[in-house]
Amino acid sequence: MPITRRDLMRASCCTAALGIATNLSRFGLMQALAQAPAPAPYQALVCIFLFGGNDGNNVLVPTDTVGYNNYFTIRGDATNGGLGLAMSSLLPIASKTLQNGNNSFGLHPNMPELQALFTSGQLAFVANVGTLSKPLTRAQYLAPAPPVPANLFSHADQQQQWQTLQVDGFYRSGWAGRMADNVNPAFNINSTFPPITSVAGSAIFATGQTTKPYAMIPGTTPGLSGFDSSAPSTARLQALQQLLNFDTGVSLIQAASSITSNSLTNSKILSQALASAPTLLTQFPATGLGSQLKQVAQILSVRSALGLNRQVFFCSLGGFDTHSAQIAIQGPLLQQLSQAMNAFYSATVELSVAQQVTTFTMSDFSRTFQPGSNNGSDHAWGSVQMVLGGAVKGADIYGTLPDFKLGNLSLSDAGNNGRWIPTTSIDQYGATLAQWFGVTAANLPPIFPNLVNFPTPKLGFLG
Amino acid sequence: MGRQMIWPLALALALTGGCAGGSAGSLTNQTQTTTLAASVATPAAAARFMEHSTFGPSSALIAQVQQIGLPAFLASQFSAPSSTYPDPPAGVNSLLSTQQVLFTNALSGQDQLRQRVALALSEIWVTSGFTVPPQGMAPYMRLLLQDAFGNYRTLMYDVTLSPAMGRYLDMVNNDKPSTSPVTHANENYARELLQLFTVGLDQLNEDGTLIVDSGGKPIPTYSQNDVQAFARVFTGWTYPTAPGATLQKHNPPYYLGAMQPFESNHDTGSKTLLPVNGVPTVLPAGQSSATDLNAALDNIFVQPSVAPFVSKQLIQHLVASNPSPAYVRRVATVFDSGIFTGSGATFGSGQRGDLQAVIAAILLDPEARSGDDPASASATDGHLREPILYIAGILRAFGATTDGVGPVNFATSMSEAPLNSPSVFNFFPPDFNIPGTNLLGPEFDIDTAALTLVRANFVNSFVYGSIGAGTKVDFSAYANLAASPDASGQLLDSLNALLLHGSMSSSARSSIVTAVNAVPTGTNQNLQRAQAAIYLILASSQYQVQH
Repeated sequence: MPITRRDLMRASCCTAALGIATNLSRFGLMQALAQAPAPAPYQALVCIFLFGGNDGNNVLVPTDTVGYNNYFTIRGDATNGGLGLAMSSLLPIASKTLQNGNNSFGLHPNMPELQALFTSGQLAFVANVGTLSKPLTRAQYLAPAPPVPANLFSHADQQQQWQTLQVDGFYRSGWAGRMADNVNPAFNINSTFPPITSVAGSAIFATGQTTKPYAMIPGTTPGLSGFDSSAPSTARLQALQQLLNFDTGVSLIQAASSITSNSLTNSKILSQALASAPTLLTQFPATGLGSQLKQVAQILSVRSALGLNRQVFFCSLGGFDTHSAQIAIQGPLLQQLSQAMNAFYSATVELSVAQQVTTFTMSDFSRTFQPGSNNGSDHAWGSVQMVLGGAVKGADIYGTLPDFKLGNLSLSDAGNNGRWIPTTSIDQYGATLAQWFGVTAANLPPIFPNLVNFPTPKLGFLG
Repeated sequence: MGRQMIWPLALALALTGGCAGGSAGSLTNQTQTTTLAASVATPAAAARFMEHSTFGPSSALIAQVQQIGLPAFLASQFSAPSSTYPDPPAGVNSLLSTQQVLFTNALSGQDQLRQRVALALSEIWVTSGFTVPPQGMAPYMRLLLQDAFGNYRTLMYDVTLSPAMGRYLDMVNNDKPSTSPVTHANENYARELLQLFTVGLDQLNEDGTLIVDSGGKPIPTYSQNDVQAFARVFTGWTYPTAPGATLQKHNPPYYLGAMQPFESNHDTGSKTLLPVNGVPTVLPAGQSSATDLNAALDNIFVQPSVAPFVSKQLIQHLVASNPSPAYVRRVATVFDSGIFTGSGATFGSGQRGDLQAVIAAILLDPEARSGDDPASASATDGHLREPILYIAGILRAFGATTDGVGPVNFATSMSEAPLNSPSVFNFFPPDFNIPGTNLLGPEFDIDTAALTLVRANFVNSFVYGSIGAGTKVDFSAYANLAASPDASGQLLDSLNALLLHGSMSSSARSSIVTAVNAVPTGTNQNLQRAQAAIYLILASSQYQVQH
């Protein structure tokens, strides 16, 4: 590996930051870091939220004759006003277990990287996951006053319910935040840096009772500009910090000051840690999600400097609200997703943490199986999600796919347009991730409030 | 509440009952009680009113409003001619030139209130350059400017048929259902019209609080079946027919004028819409596109939730994130009556949905004005200045000139790229709860750990460097103030009045003075002394939260 001038600059910069003798080469420095006291095994969860409602029906398509013919009849030909993808374009995979008697499926043609990761066993699908307070049948759904989550089919509410699992319409904290509250005392006691970092803006997912997330902009070094060590500058910084601390009696001023104060503290910690980040060999695609996952990988590379043993990251990709021109819009988004997830998995291998990092998707909802006008689809419900990582029991589909029939011909449809009533709850999906992350079974209920209503708290896609 | 206020004038008038009057003398320590009607305002009241009703006070504007008073300023704004957005030439793909206009209008346009309201409307009735080309965004912004002082029902009609909204939420070319393959009408516009633009998800009391059932649960305003019925109403419309062209089922994209119906593409079946006073509303089969559309908009507009839903959001955009239910109720009542009387003035036509009446009710309400007297300021008052208002307010305060490019770039870096919202849910939602509090703070959704430093670093660039070649500012007047023996006193008095409507606490003032005095006096140092004070105030939460 050639050492560039930039690498050397980073190396010298970080030696200064860590107070280590300045004659260490870059490799010497990395050895020094590696020899730090061995922490408990590090583990991280990486959430990729697909904003807008990803159409899961075109991510994973049954390719047995009956299943595909049903799919193509209802969805129609994508080249002629419909949404059905040609059989010849789908990327074939075989799942270890059967769904509706079939294990032959095709992935969306723009996801060859994920096809390979599925086949090699690092990627699993979880079928028909969605917001639910308790198991629900079509008959129950159609009866008066069904026990359904509040404001189904509303973007804002379903996004919040995916993140909070509070299905009553009042959203107070996120399940990752509550999970971090729970594992912090056991795993993160040696660090003051927040256990959850968002590289995609604010997300209630990351807010717990005590946990407040850190947010950063991918590819930037966080910090305050315009200050140096001169006396006037020092005095000005001191005044700024005093202004942040004064109680003005106006609640919103206090709230804003608190955000800034915390950011100044945590940005310093992170920027110092990142100064020692090695250059990753893995090439990330130059896309929005690629940049986010590259930033996450860089933080993973300095995990020992941050001192956290359990970390959660929040990333996102938007634009999935394909009410029109779905074929033209969703394809490039799934390509971006597939390429970025693949690069990120490669980076975890490069950093020797592939077994310790699990990446998973969430999305508002799936979309109607029946096409809408304008070559699009409308807001639906249960969808397929992806879980990726060295610890994942991949090449398999967990949960149960819907029957892909409409209206009265279906046991899955909420209505007549193919809005699948979920058969796996997000509580189960999240609790499976949380137990791998270190949450004990006894601690699950406060984090996953609907879990008690479902038969199994562990779906089996992680150990 | 331990809020210390420094204000050189002894305010003799309690501002009660929506009275906008104030101290008669602005530069003396007079204490006599004035009996003047609502014709003059204190400097603090004038400055703070500008924070609510314009893109930010300047010294000249404060002086003007002091002289004529708040209601007269409102009246003059309601009659001021509108700014405009020029049409980008065909073939221009970049939104930048249209985004620039938002800032150049905000800095120099005389129709400040119209622009503020149009900005608020653009964040409720969201369209975005993400999918709408600049040739669509410019006429859309003109539409909002035009309708900002009109009637809400007119706005509903105009936006529904605007090609920009048609493109953004897929009402344009929304075909009636077909049979091969079987399709359903596009639900996008129908759903968001109800959820975001008019009635909201849950039924509201007149004061904006939720109506709950016997089990304490909110009552949905509409069902999925309602969304599907409205989706069928909104079938059959296509882009305006360009001059010289002939109407087709799917006209090619064209953004000037209103969308047009192509009748044979309209779903003429009957549609069951929202109940009115408990009675189901059925549109009979066989009606035209336009008849169905107007009946559907009427059906929505008469819903009682519209007044509190719209009123609360406009309050949040103009005045405060957490208005009391009583404040919302007063404004919603004016929405319904179409007329506002207060502060010795009357605004509005008496027609339900009159926006001049609603805006006057919002801005002249006693709760909005209570903070004009620092002694009666409320702990839950205010809202975080969103990036557009933050940047524009700073530039206006210091008389900066701009081509708009720098402000657009910095607003974008603060997650508020003008006219380019990431989704129909705006840059931030009205119900964003500030984590760890029980307070709403919509704009806080884009004040993350990362973005709060972007804000401070913008101030650093503006004060100490440059925010771009097209933006110029001159701080020499403040450098001169910093030169006098009582440097920090005069400098801070001036900045306090301009930027904080005189609300700076003595402790904040003391901290800033210390930082100013850390720069030695002298010809070359005076600018730096002024810059230190300006930086600290602009970067402080006291300024960032308009209160």
